[in-house]
Amino acid sequence: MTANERKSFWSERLPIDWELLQHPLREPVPYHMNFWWFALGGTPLILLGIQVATGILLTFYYVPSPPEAYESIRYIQNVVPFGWWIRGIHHWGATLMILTVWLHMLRVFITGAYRRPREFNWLIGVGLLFATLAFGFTGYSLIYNQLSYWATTVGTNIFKDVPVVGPLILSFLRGGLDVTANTLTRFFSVHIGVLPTVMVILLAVHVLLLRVHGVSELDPKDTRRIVFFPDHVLTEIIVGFYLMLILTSLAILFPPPLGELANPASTPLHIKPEWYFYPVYRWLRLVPGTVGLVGAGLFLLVLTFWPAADGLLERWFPKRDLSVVLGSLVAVTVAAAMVWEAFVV
Amino acid sequence: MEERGMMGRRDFLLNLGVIGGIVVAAGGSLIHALRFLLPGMARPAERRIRVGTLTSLSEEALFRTIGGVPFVLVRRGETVRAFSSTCTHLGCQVKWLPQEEKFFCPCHLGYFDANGVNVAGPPPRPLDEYKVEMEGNNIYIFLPLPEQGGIEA
Ligand code: HEM
Ligand code: FES
Repeated sequence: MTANERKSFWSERLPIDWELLQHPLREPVPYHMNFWWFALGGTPLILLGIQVATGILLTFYYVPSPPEAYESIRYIQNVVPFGWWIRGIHHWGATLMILTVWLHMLRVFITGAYRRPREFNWLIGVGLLFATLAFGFTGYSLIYNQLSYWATTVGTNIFKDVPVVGPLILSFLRGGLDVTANTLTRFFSVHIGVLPTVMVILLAVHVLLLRVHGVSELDPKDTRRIVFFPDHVLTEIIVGFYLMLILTSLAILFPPPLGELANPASTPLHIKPEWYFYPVYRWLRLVPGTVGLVGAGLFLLVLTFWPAADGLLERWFPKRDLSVVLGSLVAVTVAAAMVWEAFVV
Repeated sequence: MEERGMMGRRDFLLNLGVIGGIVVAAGGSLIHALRFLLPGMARPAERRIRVGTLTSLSEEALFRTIGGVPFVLVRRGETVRAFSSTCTHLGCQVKWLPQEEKFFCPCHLGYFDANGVNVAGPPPRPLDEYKVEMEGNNIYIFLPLPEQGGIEA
């Protein structure tokens, strides 16, 4: 077969216009995309890839049934070759993914990249944030040790105070009014089936909108450009290698704890959710009951529809850049609540 | 003209039938699928269970779990009371503090006195109480036991 024949063999069977495909690949993007801080969205994307790969591997041994769940994780951690590595990466990958989603959001907030015409992508981004947090919450419950069991109990119970539909939401989350075997299987399917599907759909829309709008400019006078491929793709590959290095080091130096098997009859003395729920935890301890819940709901509502709220602020106070002040204030408060919860009992 | 109008109406009815049919079929399936996700909505019926004897019960609080339902027995002289040991705030299990004669919830530092009344912290109401019946030395309580499913303690 000559080269020409080979070419026609493939182009006949895969009648794709490669020239056309070059176009999106060669898309010019602003020069600042060379810097990690401004291209932060790519980091949780890479981490999602890592979570999917390690997560699928974990399902080969994980058993989603009450006492065996804990035992199967012990087996993964201590017996399966490199099980500690896969689980360690999945554990720390989740932490970094949540952290970098927040950082990405903060960057978008500070540079005002959510403003017209990109409001919808902020909305999709909030959906991605919720999906990531839901991944963390459901994944943590799968370990079925004391801390994760009680975190699941308390975390789902928060919804019982929702006016009118509280019990309905509770049964929907738990598969019954109490935390039972139904809860574990439910969280497992959500963690490995529902959330990945939702996430991939949201991401596809997020990236599509990003591409049709183009990356927002920081400084309209800066006309320097790089191309998406290979320039930016190479940056992301480098980030990916750094991430694997960091995750492996964390898995070795700080292996995720196994804890004690869950005991529904006894709550341990010191319980706390995972660090990313510290601010909510602190808030609900300060302001318990329906008031705290409504407050948290309002915060999430404003966060979700921030582009609209920001539009109003600009109309009322046209001279001042209130959003940056407000955003920084919220970020500092949330970080302070996290530190407070972490170091003060 | 007449005829055109008739056709329009026929097309409209046809569309209505097709779209309506799809909506009804999909909606009907969806409702049942949602119902599938909501088992055990009804509170289980109470059952009368013998939980021990008065003479074997000390003045300390005694924690037990039957059929996945955790409860605590509190004896004061000849009277015995039974409470759910599930905190009324967000559902952790309370502990008994013998010196202070109080229940303590470690999750958000809630306190209940020996009568189950919420005295400090976030719990919004007293511990749930189960009816107790004495028959001679035997203690019976009325416990809401789930029919099926659920993790055994
Ligand atoms: C298709 C994707 C995924 C699959 C198939 C999957 C699967 C699993 C499985 C089987 C476990 C139980 C084993 C264990 O606890 O070590 C688990 C745990 C966990 N998952 Fe995932 N996962 C996926 C994606 C994610 C993502 C995107 C996140 C985070 C944001 C995440 C966060 C967690 C967390 C926090 C745990 C508990 C890990 C620990 O501390 O040991 N997962 N996952
Ligand atoms: S669950 Fe008991 S105080 Fe919150």
